[in-house]
Amino acid sequence: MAGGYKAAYGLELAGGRVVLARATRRSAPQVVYAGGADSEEARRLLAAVAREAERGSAALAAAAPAEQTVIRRLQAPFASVRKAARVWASLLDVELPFPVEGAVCAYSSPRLADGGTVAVAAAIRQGDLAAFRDACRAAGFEPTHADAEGLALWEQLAVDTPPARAGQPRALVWLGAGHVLVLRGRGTALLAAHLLRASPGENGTDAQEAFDRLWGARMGPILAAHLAETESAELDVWWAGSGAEDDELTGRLRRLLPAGLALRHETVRQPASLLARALARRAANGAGVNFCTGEFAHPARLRKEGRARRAAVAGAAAAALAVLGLNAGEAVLRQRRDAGQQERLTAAARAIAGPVVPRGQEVLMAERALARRDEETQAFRRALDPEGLEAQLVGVLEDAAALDLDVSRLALSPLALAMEGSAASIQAIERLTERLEARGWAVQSDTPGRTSDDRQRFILKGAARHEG
Amino acid sequence: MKAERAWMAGAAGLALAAVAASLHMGLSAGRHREILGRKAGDLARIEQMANRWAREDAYRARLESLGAWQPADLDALAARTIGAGAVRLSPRPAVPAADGWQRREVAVEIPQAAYAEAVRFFAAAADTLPAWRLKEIELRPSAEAGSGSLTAVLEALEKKQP
Repeated sequence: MAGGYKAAYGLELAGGRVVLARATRRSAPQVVYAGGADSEEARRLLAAVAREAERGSAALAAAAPAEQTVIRRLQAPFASVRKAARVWASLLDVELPFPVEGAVCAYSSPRLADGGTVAVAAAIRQGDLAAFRDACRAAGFEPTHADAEGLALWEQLAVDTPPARAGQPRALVWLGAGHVLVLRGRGTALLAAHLLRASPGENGTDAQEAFDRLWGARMGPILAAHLAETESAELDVWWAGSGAEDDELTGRLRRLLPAGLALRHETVRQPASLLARALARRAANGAGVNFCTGEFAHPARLRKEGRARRAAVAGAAAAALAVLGLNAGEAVLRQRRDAGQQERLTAAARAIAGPVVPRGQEVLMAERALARRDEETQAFRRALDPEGLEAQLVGVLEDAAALDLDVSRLALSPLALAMEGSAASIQAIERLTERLEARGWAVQSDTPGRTSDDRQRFILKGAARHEG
Repeated sequence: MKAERAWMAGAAGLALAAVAASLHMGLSAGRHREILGRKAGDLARIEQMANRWAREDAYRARLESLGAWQPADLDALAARTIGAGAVRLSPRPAVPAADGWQRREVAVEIPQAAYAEAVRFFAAAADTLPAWRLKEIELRPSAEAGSGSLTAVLEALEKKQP
C-alpha cells in the first residue's frame, strides 16, 4: 500500500447522506457511521477522519464521480504482461472520449486470457479530478485516495459474495443517490460498466417516469447483450446501494426488466455501505485504484511517502553499513588468521634457520639450514649408531672365518668396502657376497685367477646402500 | 529534495560499496583458504624437519648434562686392551660440529696385533662417553691367522667445558 497505512476509511457522501466505513490491513471493513450528512455526529466524525488523514495515520478514500470516470476493459494481443504494459495507454486512448494525456489513468493487475493480456483501466479527466478535489475540500475533507467506483463495487461484490463458479455471469446494479451504475462480468472478471445519469429515488412522478423509461430502454439491451456475450442462458443480478434497501423500488425496477430474460435477483448484505466498505478495504490493503497521484496527491500522503522513502533510504544505508561492517570484520578476521599462521610458520622456520627468514621462503630456508645441520650432526648420528663400523668389521671377519677365506686386505668405511683374498671355492665367495649384501652392501666381485696353492683369488668392492 | 537526493546517492553509494565488498570477500575467500592451507602445509613440513634431529639433540643434551665434554684417553685405553706402545695415535685437527661441539679424529696405526685384541680396543673406545667410534679401517693380515697390521680412524666429539 502506498504510504503504508495501517487503517483506512471509505467515505460515500451523496444525496445528503454519509456512509463511513473503516478497515485495517487485517480486518474486514466495518461501518462507522451511516446517516445524515448534516448531523453533529457526522461532522464530528468527518473532522476526526480528516485529522487522521492529515496526520498520515489513516487513509481516507472516496470514489471519484462515476459519471466522470471511464472504465474500460483492454485486451493486448500478446501474452506478455511486460509487453502489454507498453501499449495500455495507446489502447485506452482509443477508448476514451478525451485525450489520455489530459487524464489520470489507472490499470488493474493484468491477467493472461485468450492468448492475450487483459486489464481493466479507469480514467478521469484531470479537470474533473481537480473539481472533485475542490468539492471534497468544500465539504470539509480531502481524500488521500480517489478510487474508481465501478471497480471498487465489483471487487467488493466478489469479496462479500464470491461467485459459485469461475465463469458465472453476474451483474451488479448500484442504485446510488444521484446515478445508477450497472456492472457486468463473468465470475470475478469485470467486462463492462454502464452508467445511468439519473436516480430512481427522485421525488416526483415525472422524474420517476423519466427514469423508468431510461431504465427500461437501457437495461434490456445491456442484460441481453451480456447473456449473449457470456453465452449464458441465465444471469445473477445483485442489487446494492441505498436504493436497494427499498423493496418497493427494487420490485418496480425488476418488473421493468424484459420478461424473457432468465434473471435471478439478489440483494447484497448491507447494500447501502457496499461502496464505503469497498473503498476502505481497497485503501487499506492497497489493492484499489488511486487517482490522487502526482499533482493530485494528498500532502499528508506525500509527507508520509517521503518519510517512508527516507526510512527506506536510511534502512538501506544501515543495511549497507552493516554489510560493510561484516565485511570489515571478516577482513580483520582473515588478516588475524593469516598473521597468526604466518607467525607460527616464521617461528618454526626461525627455530631451524635462525633469526633471518624472509616471508614466503620459510620452507626453503629451513631446508637449507637442515642441509647445513645435516653435515654438522653426522658425528652425533655415528656416535648414536648402535652397531656402527665396529659391528660391520666383526661381522665381516666372522663371515670370512666361517667361509674359510684368507683375507689379504680389508678396507672398511661407512660408505665403501674393499676386500681381497682367496677362497677354497667360487661358492664360498658367492656366499660371502650374499652375506655382505644382507648387511647392506651393494657388492661387485671379481675372481682374477687362482693362487699358487690352487685357491680362488677374489676381489670384492662394496658400496653402502644407506649411509649410516 | 536536494538533501533527499544526496541521502539517496549516499545510500546508493554505500549499497554499491557493500555489494563490491561482499563480492570481493566472496571471490577472495577461496584464495584466502588456499594461502592458509599452503601455510599450514609449510608449517607441518617445517615441524617435521624440526624433529629430524631429535635423537641427536637428545644425545648432545645427555652429554652436556653428564658433563662429558672430552672423549677418553685413547693411549690409556690402547695400553689396557692391546698393550703399551702397540698403538701409534696421530690426532687430527678438530672440525666444528653442531652447537659448539667439535669433531675430533685420530689416526690409529697398529703394526701388528691380533684382530680380536683390536676389536676389543675399538669396542672399549666405543663404550666411553663421548664415544670413540670407528670411522674407517684397513687391515692387512700377516701370515699368522687372525692377526696383522691395521690402520684406522677413530672419531669422537668434544666441547670446551663452559
